[in-house]
Amino acid sequence: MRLRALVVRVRALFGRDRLDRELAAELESHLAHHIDDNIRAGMPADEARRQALVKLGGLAQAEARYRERRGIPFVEHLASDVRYAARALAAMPGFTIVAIVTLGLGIGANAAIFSVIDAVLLRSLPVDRPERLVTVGRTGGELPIHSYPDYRDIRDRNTVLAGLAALRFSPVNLQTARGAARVWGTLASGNYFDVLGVRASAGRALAPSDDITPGGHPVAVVSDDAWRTRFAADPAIVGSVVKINGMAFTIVGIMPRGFRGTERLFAPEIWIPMAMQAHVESGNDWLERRQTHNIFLLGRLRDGIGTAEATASLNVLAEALGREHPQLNEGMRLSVAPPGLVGNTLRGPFVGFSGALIGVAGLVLLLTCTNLTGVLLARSTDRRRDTAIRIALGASRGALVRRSLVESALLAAGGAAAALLLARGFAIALSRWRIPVDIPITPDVSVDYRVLLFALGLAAAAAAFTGLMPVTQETRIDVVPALKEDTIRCGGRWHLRDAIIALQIAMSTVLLIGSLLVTRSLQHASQVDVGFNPDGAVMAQVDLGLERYSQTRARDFQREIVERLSTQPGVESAAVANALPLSIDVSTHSVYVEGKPQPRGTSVPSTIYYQVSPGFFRTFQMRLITGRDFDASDLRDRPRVAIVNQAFAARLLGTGDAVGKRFRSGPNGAWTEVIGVVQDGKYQTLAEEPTPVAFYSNVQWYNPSTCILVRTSLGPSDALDGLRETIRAIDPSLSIFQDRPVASLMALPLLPARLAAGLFGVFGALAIVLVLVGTYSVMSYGIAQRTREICIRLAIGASAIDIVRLVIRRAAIIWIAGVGLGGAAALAAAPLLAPILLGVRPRDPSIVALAMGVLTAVIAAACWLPARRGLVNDPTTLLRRT
Amino acid sequence: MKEKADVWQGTLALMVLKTLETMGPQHGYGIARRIEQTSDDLLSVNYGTLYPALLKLEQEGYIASSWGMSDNNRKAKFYALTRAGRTRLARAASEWERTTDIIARFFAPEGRS
Repeated sequence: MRLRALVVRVRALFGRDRLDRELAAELESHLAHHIDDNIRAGMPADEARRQALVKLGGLAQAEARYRERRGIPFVEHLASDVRYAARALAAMPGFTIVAIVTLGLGIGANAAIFSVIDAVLLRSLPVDRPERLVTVGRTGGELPIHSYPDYRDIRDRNTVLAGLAALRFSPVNLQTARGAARVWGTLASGNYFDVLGVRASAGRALAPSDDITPGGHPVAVVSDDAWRTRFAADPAIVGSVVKINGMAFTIVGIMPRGFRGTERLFAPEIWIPMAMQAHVESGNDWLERRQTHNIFLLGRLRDGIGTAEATASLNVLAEALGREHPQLNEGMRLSVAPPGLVGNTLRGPFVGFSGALIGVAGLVLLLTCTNLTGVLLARSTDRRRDTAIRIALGASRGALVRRSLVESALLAAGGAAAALLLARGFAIALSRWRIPVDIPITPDVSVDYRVLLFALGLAAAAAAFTGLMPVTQETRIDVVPALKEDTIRCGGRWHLRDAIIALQIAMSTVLLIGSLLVTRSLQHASQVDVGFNPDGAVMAQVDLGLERYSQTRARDFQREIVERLSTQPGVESAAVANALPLSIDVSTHSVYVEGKPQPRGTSVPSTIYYQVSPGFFRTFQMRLITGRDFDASDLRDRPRVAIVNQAFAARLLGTGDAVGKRFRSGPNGAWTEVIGVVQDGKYQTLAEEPTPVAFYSNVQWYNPSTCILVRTSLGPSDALDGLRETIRAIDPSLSIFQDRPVASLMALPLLPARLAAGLFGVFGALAIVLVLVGTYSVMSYGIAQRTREICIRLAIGASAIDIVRLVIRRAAIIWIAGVGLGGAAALAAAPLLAPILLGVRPRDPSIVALAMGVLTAVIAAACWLPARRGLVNDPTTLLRRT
Repeated sequence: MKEKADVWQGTLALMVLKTLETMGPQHGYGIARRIEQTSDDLLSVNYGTLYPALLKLEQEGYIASSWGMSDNNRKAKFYALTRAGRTRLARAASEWERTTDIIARFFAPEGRS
């Protein structure tokens, strides 16, 4: 029955006019009957009516009680509040638009950053029970990578994992009916999809039976994306044959939509059994080499096993492996962690970076809200009379609170809508944007229900924040004087809005200092000495391994391309290298120095290395400090030589002349002699400390990966055309990638600094605008309110200077409080930014001073206009009018 | 304060149902007069409170209303007991009896007899 009553009452919310008319008719009929009775009892007509009305207890009250019972009063009042607020907001479109736009920016910035956090940290991988998957890490080295023999031992001998898979990311040359392309794939152990619990959406996934005989399983599965983009979504591709690095492979399955492998930022297109490694990475067969750490491990915890227990048990196994292979594994420790971020290595940096960003975005939102609160507070003072009338007529405090909250809720709803549009635009832009590397790094960002809830939650908080403060002021109104409107408002008293302005200035100071810091850091980063000259040179890459070149043919190509380029007009010099510094292709090997005690296990030092052609240092303009460059005498059959950088010489070779010293990359084997030392540079990031690097001659140490480098006096586009033509003149079928000016290499290392500067730049600009608007509106409002006071002061002889002083003094106190508080907060919080700053101290006094100076100018401008307007008025006319 | 009002409201609803059972379909004024007469004018119904009570009963489905002509030849809204209303009245009546019975035991002059 209760439910039925509710339904009837909800229905009564509509068609209220008809129901009102019916009630009126019923009460009219009641009165008529009563009057009839009274007249029958002998009363005169007017007395009969009077008595009947008395007995009914007042028509209006009866109707009101009836209506309350009929519908749901709360909803009806709310509806009328919404109508009222919508009318009020529509009456001031300027304020409404500014409020919605600033709230939209504030909430939108948070939602956009949250959508990235959601995609990278919160959303689970589309696999069976993702919380039970772990990546197995290894101490030593920068990445959690293992050797294949170690993997086999860990897989077969552990007692805590229900399954352990191995994977490695590798580019392949994929030749389909629609042409050849270089795509990124994953070499996966046969149990990979079993461990994940993922089945193919068509055909089958890879199985353990696909990973038994080395080189004997030419099968692959493709991602849904690859199926759509490279195979025109043709279902017949299952069972068809493609060429991978020139060899025929059968496509046995298509993976489900949304499955992008097990890395959040990296979307491979094709999965190939690990047994095919030697073919995929042609000429580099490392599967049976325990010293080559190349694979990531992904395991599924046994039911009932926690991560602590798993770690302890795996480390017992690690100790056993250390005893069995002391040269390579002594001191090895294993760890388990959630997978998805290059193992787990990026989680810490990502949490730090996104945490800092969301903190700043939160500050922006807080600033937006205080700004809005300030304006709403000023308006609530405007509405004093209106509010006083309502209170006098019997409006409850609750009704007043509701009215104010509904208004800010409407604004917040508009803001949330704008914010979601913004977040969606951001997600689309991000999905189209490619990080300047040749790997498909694409976080899968979208506005899902969590982002939606987040934005709505922020909007609700913003509504409560901006609505409650004005209302607490409003309901404390002294009714009688407010009604009479007889108070002359003097500026003597301090208001809540003054504190709010000070708070706004403080937060803007913090934001501005942050933006200036990261901007200065970007400036600095673009001037860092990277140890080579990226300007005036262009590059292009071919992977001769993927192109099925034999070693002899590849060596000929590498020699011929340099010879041909060197004779071309405008070319100063040309060279090839396996990779360039500051790209993501970084190789390292261990270093054992002759005549030094041999370190063991994880304490062996390592160096980055490159294989380059003679003339590389001249082309790259990397300064040779002592010794000589590679030359024609460094032949294949001669003892191996190397050129090292200063950090290598100082840290690994010790004191004395580096040239002539010898080292090797393994505990045994032939020695390499140092023939020269080049200047230090940057190899992985711009912020890194000097890192040991060794350069080898590509004649003595072959590498099929070929990065061609040309220094030329031509413009970049002409130079690139010439470079591509020269490559095609030798072999027109080669697929060329990364063809671009060398200067664009800087895009990758500069990326974090640019991102930070871009975001902070937007936030900083927003902060300045908000301070300008907020200060201006509250100042001009305050002065408008004091017009009478100012006029009286002028009339009784105050000079304009006195008035200016009166107005300025207040502004100055607010300014000092705000900037001081903000400066102190910025000094306290600045170290949080330290990880993303380069060459700038977080507490740089010149930046703090600059930020304060800019804000002072902004505040002065925001005060000047209202102050001037307050003064140019003619006191007599004004006094008469008000 | 609130409790008293509730009791009154509850008993008023019961009186309305009983009145309709005894008299058949009746309009608001008729119900009010009948309740006063039945109580020998000991109860004075504030007519204003009657209509919200009627509305509540109608929303709950115990009574149904329709417009018709009264004995005075005037248009009036007539209320009639529904089947659910009869069931409700029967249950309420037995509950009421039991309650008054229990209360009566407390106030019976036991020691003296």
